[in-house]
Amino acid sequence: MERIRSYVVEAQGIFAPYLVAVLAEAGLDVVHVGNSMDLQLMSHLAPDLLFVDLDYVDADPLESIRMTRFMLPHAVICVYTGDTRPAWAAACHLAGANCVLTKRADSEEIATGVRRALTVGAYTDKRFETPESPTC
Amino acid sequence: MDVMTSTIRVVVVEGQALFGKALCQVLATDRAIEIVGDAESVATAPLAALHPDLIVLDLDGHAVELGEAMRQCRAAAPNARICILSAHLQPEVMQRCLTAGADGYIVKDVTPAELIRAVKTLAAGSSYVDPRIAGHVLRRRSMSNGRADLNELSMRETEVVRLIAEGLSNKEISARLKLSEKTVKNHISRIFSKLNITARTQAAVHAIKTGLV
Repeated sequence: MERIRSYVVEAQGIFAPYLVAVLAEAGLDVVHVGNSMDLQLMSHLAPDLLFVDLDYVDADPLESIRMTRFMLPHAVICVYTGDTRPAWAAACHLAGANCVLTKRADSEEIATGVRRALTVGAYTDKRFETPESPTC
Repeated sequence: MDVMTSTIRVVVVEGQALFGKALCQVLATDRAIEIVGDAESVATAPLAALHPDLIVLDLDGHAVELGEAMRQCRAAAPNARICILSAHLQPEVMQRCLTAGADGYIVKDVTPAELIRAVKTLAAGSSYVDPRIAGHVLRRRSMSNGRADLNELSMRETEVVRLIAEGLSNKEISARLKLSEKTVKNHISRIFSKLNITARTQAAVHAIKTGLV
């Protein structure tokens, strides 16, 4: 598999190493993990893929996606969000995200989403299709 | 705590599948802590059978309301301490959790070392709240001389605020909570008075700010 240079934004210190391991398992080469969206660094590293936990970005999440899309027009943008409203997924896609995953996704689903985004160009977590996803 | 081995029996209830696993992994690195179970919701966690000393309960992403989740935890594991895990660093959210009966409050950007310290503190019978917002609790205590804050919303009032923020009318709220419309109106009057507001939209803003919706 081609080396996919990836930039991860995850502010939850406990979770970041686990997420990186999941993404590595999915075949990604994580070149940077940060707790914020450093656009200058992103631009410098020019990753093939960005994986962003949208719940912890400092700025407006949609504006952050738009800005990232503008700075890195060819990068695949995957966002990870706790908001499961279908309208929110649509807004993320519209802002420029290729892949929108909910936080209920397990490691296999994350890998599937990332691969689909890389190959087909778009992926939306199936949980967005049902407004009130069951929790059990 | 397990008398024979002195380990702290912990159950993690976390709606975010991967985050829950990461949490278990971190806690399992400490020999004094034993993860006896993990689940995505209180309903699916066999708490009664697991006899936990501590339940780490995710505040976000649950289908049931916090008070109800706490009630279910207490009913299934009356001796367990409950620590809320939340994405919110707002004192109001923490206060709501403590009012609902939580023993501890941790924000999800906690470091592994701090998380383990919190678990041990709670298991030892003390309380633990994120140090960044702990001052708020002390200030409230000193301002009210240890008495319950008269401006603090009751569980029922909190529920009404949450439903207002969801856009429900008084009639719909009364149907949802199985109360008369008059009782709902009384709750709303008290809410307005306690929050010092005059409109439903302000109540909705309060609900959003404090993480009720």
